[in-house]
This record gives sequence, structure tokens and C-alpha cells, in this order.
Amino acid sequence: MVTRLRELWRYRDLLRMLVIRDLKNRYKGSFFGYLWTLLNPLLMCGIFYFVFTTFARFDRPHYALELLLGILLWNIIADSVNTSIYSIIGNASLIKKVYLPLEIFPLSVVAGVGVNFLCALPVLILFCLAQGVWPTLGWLWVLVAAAVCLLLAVAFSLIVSVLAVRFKDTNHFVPVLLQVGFFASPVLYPLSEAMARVPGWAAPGYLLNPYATWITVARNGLVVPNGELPGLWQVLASGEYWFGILCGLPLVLILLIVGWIFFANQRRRLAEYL
Amino acid sequence: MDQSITLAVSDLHKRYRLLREPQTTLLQAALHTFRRRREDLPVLRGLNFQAHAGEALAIIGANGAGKSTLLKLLAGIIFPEEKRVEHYGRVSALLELGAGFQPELTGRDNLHLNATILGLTRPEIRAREQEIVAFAGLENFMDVPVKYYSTGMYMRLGFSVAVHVDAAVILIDEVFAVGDEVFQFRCLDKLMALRQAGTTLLLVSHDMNLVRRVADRVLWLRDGVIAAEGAPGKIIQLYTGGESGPAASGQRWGSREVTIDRVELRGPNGAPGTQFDPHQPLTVAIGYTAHQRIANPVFGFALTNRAGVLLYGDTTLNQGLAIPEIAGSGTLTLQLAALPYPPGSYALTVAVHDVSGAQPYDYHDKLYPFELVSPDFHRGSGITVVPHTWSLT
Repeated sequence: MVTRLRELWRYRDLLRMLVIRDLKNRYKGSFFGYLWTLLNPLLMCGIFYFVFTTFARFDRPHYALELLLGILLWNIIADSVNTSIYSIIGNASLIKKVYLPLEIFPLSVVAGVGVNFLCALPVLILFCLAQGVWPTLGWLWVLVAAAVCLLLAVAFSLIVSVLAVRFKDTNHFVPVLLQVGFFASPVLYPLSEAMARVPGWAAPGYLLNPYATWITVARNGLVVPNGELPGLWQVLASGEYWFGILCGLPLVLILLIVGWIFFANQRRRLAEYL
Repeated sequence: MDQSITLAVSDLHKRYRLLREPQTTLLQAALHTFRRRREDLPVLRGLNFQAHAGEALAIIGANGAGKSTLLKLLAGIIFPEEKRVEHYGRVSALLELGAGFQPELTGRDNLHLNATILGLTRPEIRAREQEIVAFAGLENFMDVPVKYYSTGMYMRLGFSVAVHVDAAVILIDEVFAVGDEVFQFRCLDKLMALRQAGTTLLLVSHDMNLVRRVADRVLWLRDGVIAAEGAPGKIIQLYTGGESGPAASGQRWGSREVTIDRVELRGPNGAPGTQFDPHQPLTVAIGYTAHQRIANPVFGFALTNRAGVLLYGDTTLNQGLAIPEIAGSGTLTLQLAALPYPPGSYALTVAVHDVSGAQPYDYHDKLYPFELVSPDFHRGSGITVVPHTWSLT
């Protein structure tokens, strides 16, 4: 594993070039270009905000903001996984002709998504300011939560990119799974609402979802009500979600290791299956 | 250990997994865990060889002998069964020129991307960029997207990047089959210069002429094992002699009322062979059997070069040799005064059909490969040789 990591490090320039290539290819020839990175989550947010304030009547002071953050963080995982399906298949002509550490393809996808997330941050900040939410140190929790989502994205992307080579079904069932995850995770609604409705025996299971706890940490960090503790401390102090916080990070680590081992196992045969 | 070894292979095996039905859906994969009907196709069966610094090693062999598989293994694109391939230094694989070029990106961007793919770091690329561009001769086109490049420009850029990565070993898979003659000569010169500087060249080619010109040592690969190894002249003779005869390449068809049973190519000394001097006459003896009485049969022959281009073909009918009727066995002799073609691999087609040409009795399409070897080596280019002399007046 150390040798693999060292080799990846040797190819870091390639990782950078692949990310730049994908970004250039994405924006080349499209009229709005970079603006789409900003418009997309905003449009999504607008739609869901309309639906949920009109029909579901969530009564939360900064629901739109929470929604935007939820979508941005969820998109880190969803965009990575969706794009990773084609990360190895799409580079088949290259992989069959040149030696490359293949991990670099799903990793470059996630890195690109990470860059996109950073590019979308100004919108989030403007949105906060427009809502009268002023910067605090608690905002840093957003970056920590994003990092957790990126790690999750790496784990899933490693697995999905290989699965897509082996099984043609992958590009059909992965988006469905992501849809299920989207509604099962607290993207559109706050974690507290979900916990209030989930039966007691299922609550620990629900909290095992690292996204569920870390989006809550990020939301609490972003919007700090006066006199309250920011982010993680607030979540921990509330005592409800300690289980998720405690198990979430080791779970992310385990998923990463599983993804890595799965990829390493399949790596040597991939070029033959392409 | 010998310091000059750049590449070592010992007991290299490679099998491809063949699935009766490829399991490309989850359901099939699940079913297959219960009924495994897997077959393995051995491609390479125990190869042992080493390559040294400054050596040009050529690998020859019929299609399917495992040449491309070997190159891919050496390049690290696919992996062997048990043993490892030992590399001592960076390997640059020219399996395809310009692999990974992005049509939308400019020549310069692609240069950087391609060089990075081949394992160069950013400072290394910056240090070499000028040189790469100059060798490709594309100084004025570096900021143009490569989708506007001609095939030649594309190839030049790809080749130029690949030979500037300071590889200890360069793997070349028939990349000279493309590109014009001038480009081919430039590439060869560059490769020769690299070999002089200590780079190992490993070349896969069907072009025996190129092999003879470039290689120091030849490996003949047959059915996944090294059939012979040694000096180019000797091995090529073994190879072209051993793999000739019907079914080497080409095909046979026809209604078989008349069959061609035996075709022999003979040089001026009368002995059958597969290597001939283009200046000397070539005699082709065609043994046939007519299984019933056939009126007005027409025999024909054709010469094709390695690329399958028809060089010349003619029939007994055109020549005015009337054959009113044949029955039983006989021999027809074809005399070719000279073969005005450059040295290389060629194939002879022999056929017999009815007078209209619509019904083939027996057609041996490109079934008789042979080599033209000239003592006075032609460096000229083209598919034919025009006898000429120069004089300055």
C-alpha cells in the first residue's frame, strides 16, 4: 500500500492535469461556463425551497441556507460517484496503451468535484450575508464536513469505477442508489426532524450515516444562534448525536480501506476487461 | 548482476480468462459463482529473455503469437500470472502515438498532458518543451487545438513526446506503419541515436526489412514461446521459411473441379526457397489435378506486397496461352524475369478459374509468402523499383 501511495505521489502532476483537463472540457463551449457550478445548486435549492416551504411548511429561520449547504455537501458525494462510473471506462483508450496508476482516474474525479465545491463557496458566503448571517469561526466546520464528504466520495468512487468496468448494470443502479441516499439522508430536512420520526431501534442505524451527522455539524456551525456553542460542540452538547459522531469517522475510514482494497484487487485485471 | 541489463523476464506466463458467455451483468455474475465454466487461454507460456542497454531487440511472429501481449506486459498495462517483469529504469511505450490526446486542447496543453502521462514531472517537461516542439517541427502550431492537426502533425507530436522522456527502455509496436516516409526516416534516426546513447529498443514488427535494418537481436515468438533467438538474418530466414506454405496467411476458395496441389517457388539455381534476389528470375511450378474434364481453364497469378497492394497480376488467357482442355494431373510453369520491387515481404496468389472468370475452381489467395533480399540495399522509397542512375553534367 505504501508503494502504491508513493507511486500516486509521483504522478501528482498527472492528477492535477486530469483535473484541469476535466474542468476545461466541462466549460469549453458552454455559454455560462463556470456559472453553471454556481447556478446548479442554486436552482436545485430554489426548487426544493419552494416545494418545502409551500407544502411541507418547515418552520426554520434559515431553512434556505440549510438547504443550500445540504445540497452542496450532498453534491460532493453524488457528483463524484456519478462521474466516477465513467472515469475508467471513459479513459479506456489511454489505459490500454499507457501504464498509469489507475487509482488516479476516480481520484481526479473527486479532486475535480472538490475544486468545484470551493468554487461554489462564494455563493454560500454571499447567501449567508444576504440572510444576515455573519461569519464566525464556526464556519470552519463547513470545511471539515466537506472533507468528510470528500473522503466518503473517494471510497465510493474507487468501488464504483471498478464495478462499472466489470458490470454494465452499474450505470443504471448507482444513480438509483444515490436517489435513495438523497432522500434517506437529511439533505432536504434537518436531522432533528428525521430523528423525531425514525423509530427508536433504527435511530443508531440512521446516525451511522456520516453525512447525516456531519451536515448537522456544518449547519450548526454556519448558523450560530446567539450565545450558543458552534458546530460540533453544540451537537455534542445536545447529547443526541454522540453515537453518530463517534462511529462516523471510523466508518469513513473503514469504507476508505474497503474501497482501496477492492480497487487494488481488481486493478491488475482492469485493462483486460476494458 | 550485469549492470547493463535494462529489462529482464524470467518464466513469464500469461493466460487470458475466457468466459463462455461474458458475464457483464450482475445476474450473470451471480449465476457464474455457482456454475463456473471458465476456460483459460494461455497466451505466453514461459518466456525468458533479457535486454541490455544500447541494444535493439526485435520481436517477430505471426498474428496471435503473443507479441502485443508481451509488450503490454512489459509496459505494465496488464499483469502476468506469477512471475514479475523486472525493470531497471523507466519504460516508455509507443503502443500508440499520441495516446490520450484531447482534441479540444491545444498542442501545448496536450504536450504537457502526454508528457505527464508518460511520467515526466513539471520541471522536466519545462526543460524539454523547446526540444520536443522543435523535433516535432510544430513551432507555429502549439497554440492550436489538436483537432485541427493533420494526422502527420498529430503523429509527430506524439512521437516527439514519447522519445523525449529519457526512458531506459522504449517499446515500439508497429507505429511506423503510419506516417509518411520522411517522418519514418526521422523517427528511425532518432531511435538509432537513442540506442547509441544507451537506450534499449524493443520493437514489434511484421516488416522484416525494418527488423533487419534496426535490430541487433531477434526473438521469434510462436504460440507463446520463443521459437528461436539470435541474429536478425538467421532468425528471419527461419521465420519466413517456417511459416510459409498454405494457411500461413491468406485463404483458399473455389469449387475444386480443378485443384492446385503444389506451388513451388524456385530461384535461378532451381532449388525451392522463400528468399529471392529481385534481379534474378523466379520460377513458379504449379502442380494441378483436374478431377473431371475441364475445357478452357485459365490460370493466373498475382503479386502483393506486405500492405496487400496488388503489384501485378496476369492470366494465361491474357498471355495468349490457350489451354483447350485438361484432365488428370499436370504441371504449369510460370517464369518471372525479375521482380522489380524493394526488399521486403511479398505474397504470391495462384488461381485457376473458368474462361469467363466468374467461376473460380481453386483460388489460393496470398497463400505463398516470400522475401525479396537484395545485396545492393535500396534506400529508395516506394512500392516498386525504377532502375536509375545519376549523373552530374
